[in-house]
Amino acid sequence: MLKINNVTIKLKSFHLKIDLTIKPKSITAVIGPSGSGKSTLFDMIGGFNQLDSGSIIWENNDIGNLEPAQRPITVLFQDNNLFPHLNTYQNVALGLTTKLKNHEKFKYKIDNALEKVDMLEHSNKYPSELSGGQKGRTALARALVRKKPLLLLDEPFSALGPGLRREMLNLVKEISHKNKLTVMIVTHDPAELADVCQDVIVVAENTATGPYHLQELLKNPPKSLSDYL
Amino acid sequence: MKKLIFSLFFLLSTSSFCLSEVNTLKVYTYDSFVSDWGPGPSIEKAFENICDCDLQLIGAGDGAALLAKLLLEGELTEADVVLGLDTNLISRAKETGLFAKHSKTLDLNLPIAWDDDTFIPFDWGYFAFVYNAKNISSVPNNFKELTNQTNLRIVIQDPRSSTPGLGLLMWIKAAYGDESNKIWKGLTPNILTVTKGWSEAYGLFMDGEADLVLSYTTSPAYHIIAENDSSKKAAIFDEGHYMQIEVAAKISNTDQTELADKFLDFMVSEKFQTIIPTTNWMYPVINLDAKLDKAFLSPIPKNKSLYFDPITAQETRKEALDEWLEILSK
Amino acid sequence: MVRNIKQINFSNILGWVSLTLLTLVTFGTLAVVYVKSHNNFTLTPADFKIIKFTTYQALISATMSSVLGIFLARALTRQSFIGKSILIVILGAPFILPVVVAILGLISVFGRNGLLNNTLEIFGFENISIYGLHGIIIANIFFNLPLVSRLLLHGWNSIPAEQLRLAESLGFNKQDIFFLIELPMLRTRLPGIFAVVFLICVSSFSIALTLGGGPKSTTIELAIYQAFRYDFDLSKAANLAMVQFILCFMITIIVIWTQKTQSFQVSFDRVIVKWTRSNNNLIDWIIISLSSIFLIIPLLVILMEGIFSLHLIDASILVSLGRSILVAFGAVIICLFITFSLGSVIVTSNIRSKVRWLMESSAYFIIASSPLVIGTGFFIFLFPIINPIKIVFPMTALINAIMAVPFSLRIILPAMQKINQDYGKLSESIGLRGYEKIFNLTIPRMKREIGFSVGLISALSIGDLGVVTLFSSPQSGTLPLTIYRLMGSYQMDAAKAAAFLLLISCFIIFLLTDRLAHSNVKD
Repeated sequence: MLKINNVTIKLKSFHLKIDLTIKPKSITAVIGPSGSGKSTLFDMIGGFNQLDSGSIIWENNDIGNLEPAQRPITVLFQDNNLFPHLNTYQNVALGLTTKLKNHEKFKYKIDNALEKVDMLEHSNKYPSELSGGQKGRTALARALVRKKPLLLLDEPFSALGPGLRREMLNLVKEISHKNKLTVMIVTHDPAELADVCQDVIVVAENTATGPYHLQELLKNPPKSLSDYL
Repeated sequence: MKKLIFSLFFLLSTSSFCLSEVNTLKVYTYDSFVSDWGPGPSIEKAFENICDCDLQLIGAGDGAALLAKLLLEGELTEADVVLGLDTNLISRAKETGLFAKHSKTLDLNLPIAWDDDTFIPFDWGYFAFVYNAKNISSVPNNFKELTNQTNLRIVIQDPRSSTPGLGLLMWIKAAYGDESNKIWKGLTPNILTVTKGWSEAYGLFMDGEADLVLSYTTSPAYHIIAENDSSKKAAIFDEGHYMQIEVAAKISNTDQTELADKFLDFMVSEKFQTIIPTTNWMYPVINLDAKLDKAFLSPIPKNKSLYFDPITAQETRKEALDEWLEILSK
Repeated sequence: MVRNIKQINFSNILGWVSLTLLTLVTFGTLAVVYVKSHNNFTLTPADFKIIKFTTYQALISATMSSVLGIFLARALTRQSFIGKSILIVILGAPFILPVVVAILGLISVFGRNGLLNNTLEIFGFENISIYGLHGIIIANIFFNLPLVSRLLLHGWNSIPAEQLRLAESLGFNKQDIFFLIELPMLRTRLPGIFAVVFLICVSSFSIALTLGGGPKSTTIELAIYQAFRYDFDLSKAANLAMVQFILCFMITIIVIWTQKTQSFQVSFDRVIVKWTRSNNNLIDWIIISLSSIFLIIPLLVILMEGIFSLHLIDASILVSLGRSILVAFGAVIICLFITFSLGSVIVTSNIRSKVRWLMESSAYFIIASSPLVIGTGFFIFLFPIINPIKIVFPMTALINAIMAVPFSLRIILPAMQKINQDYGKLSESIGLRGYEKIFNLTIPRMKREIGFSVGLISALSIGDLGVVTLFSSPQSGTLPLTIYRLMGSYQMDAAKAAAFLLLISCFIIFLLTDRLAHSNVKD
């Protein structure tokens, strides 16, 4: 269980209050108008922003003061999840070691992860040779080898077409279920996530609240969200 | 923007208009001749007093570059008279066909007989290394001693652009003949830098950058007379000193023939010649007797005077230059 | 429709005229040089030493500029401080700074009686010399360190923020960040930057002219000048010009080959959270302060000393400034004409791609040609017909214009392409064509780019001390040449006053064009 208790973040001309609880092994959507602070929320959980007050509790431990790498979290960004000068295999290997030369002992794990996302045959390709979907799969493979229980997706498939996006979301659903991951996904289109998740968090008017039930929210949105939807 | 450009055109055109009201004589010469402390200002004033003309002394680099400049401009040159070549360049200058013969009978006081039909001398001197007696304890007495004292830093001029630079090539050739390459090899470590002209080199010496500078036996007179400073001295070498005779001539297709002749006459007159010693710091080409300041030591004895006639100098120049370039570029 | 075809032909003709002009000036003069040197191409041992020295000084200068540039760019990326944006603007200044002005400043600092040596003397150290190899390298670094730093700063800024966060969440340490993020960036950018700087150093004539010159420190370009001005040996000049062209051509091929991902646009001051958390603060600050001192002090010295010598500015200096401005004006007109003519053809959609490639690459290949080689070719060609001395200013304006084409095309072309994309069909449909299109659409939409180009071309031209040194008469030089002559006759104070004037003129021209560029831009 991820609990975010009364956290406030102050940036230059922006502040955000967060108080919410995410169920373990669930997939939760994060929605809100652009500029409302969805990325700030992820930055806070991921450890890229300082907390001004409050705490972040994961499985009864306060992770609010840990370095990003020490947190039980993997973040997938909108873009640039892969290093362009490393091939697929090396990009995944980075999830286990930064010493790319002695990756031999991890070969089994890496190949295994690549196989799960159907990327094994593209091991030696560089990001510039991959399609958008393949890049997303590679990033997912790295998330798998890292074995962090919490996976944050910051619109990672927004550049893909609707069909491919649905396919990727299904892949996320499948592997998060198999690997017992807790997943949060930022999206612009909550309807699209209807098959994948039930819970939704709303970031609007400088607060992040939830979770709400996705279907109900869509039927009956609060005022702050109705304009946006 | 338009206004700006128009006013600039105006500025440029007016500057040439006001000059064209009287006859103008353009004399190409070396830079130090026209500098504020050189002979230029006094000579311009003196000549304009008698000629009813505008004398323009135009500095075009050092003496040797002056000749290349004329070659470059060819028949189109604006110059009416060229002043500041020396005997080492006379043959090369005549080959260009740009210079007019003079028809003057000259009464000169030079160490050698003057019989050139084109060029007229206006001053002369001996090349020498000048040093500051306050800074140097053991003064070299010849080139070999100079090469042995590797701590002494010297500044010389480029023989391709400067007449003193070329003079040094001739000096060493005249003193050592085929052994000259040994002297140059020995000198190379002493050479701090090679400048394009005499002014730069002397400026560096005066700034204390170098211990010795290639100049003339008459240069110390400047410091004695103008600055009351007797610490600057010329090192007298026992191999002898190479003589430089600086010359001038008329450009053959000048449209100011009369004025040019008048200038050349003026050049060997007493008025011009009295200005030369204390501004260009060289010996006059006519006998000034008591009018020559005592600070000008008597010229070194004739048997220590080294000199190539123009034809020999021209024959020696190419070979000496190649040798110099090769040794100094190492 | 008939009219339409006519218009396209008209713009095509102008494009071909410009292309011919470019080709004649660059390759035409080269052909003349080749013919002249063809029958007796000999290089003396001294010539080989010159070639060796040229590449050697360029190699050292480019290496040192690159290494220092890496440290400076890295420090500027990580640290954030008041005045950083000003410092970054100053890093752009040497590109348009007249070389003679900078040289005078460097002499004031590093010369025998300069600030540095006087300080060294107090502490009893050996003096360092600004003349010869040392001076040439110092000057080259002065001009190229800022260039390298700005290009690399852009490289660091172009590293996506996500990569840095990714690095953080994957637990990279400092070495990991260097090897996995910074080094790959350097590997893609540095070879191109190095090659450009090497090319600049190989062909930097003014620096060698003012600080080198002895047989030990002569570059090929300087030797071409000497063959002209010392010996008037045209075949020697032609031989050396041939060598210079071949050398520059080879480097240019390397530049273009390494330039695939290079961009000359720089985004400033995007401080990324991660970089500022660096703990190498001390080293960063030392690098930033030393570089600032090195780059700023020489200019300050010129400004200060120049102001106190302003009374030495006489009519001849003012007239030479007038000449420089006229030459710059001519260069701007010619350069914009060529740029727009080539640009119109390149952006036209219905043109064969080979033609487009030809137009673009001929413009960019100009960086391989040297003004001195072009000048040599012009001279050899014109000498039997008309004395080149007579047309020295139009010729200087033409050569300056052509040397500026690659830069101006790089500024103008993207804007032209955008206008064509956005309004091309619209203007076709309302029948806006030809001159009407240029005056009613292109120029109003491109004020900023045109203003920037005009500023750049005039600054490059007004400070140029290249081809004009070959031909000009003693009393008819441009301002940089006058400064050089004053230096040569050791009138340093007058030279500094004139340098002050040149610097201020460049600055005013930039301000004027900037105001022009920003007047009435409606968006």
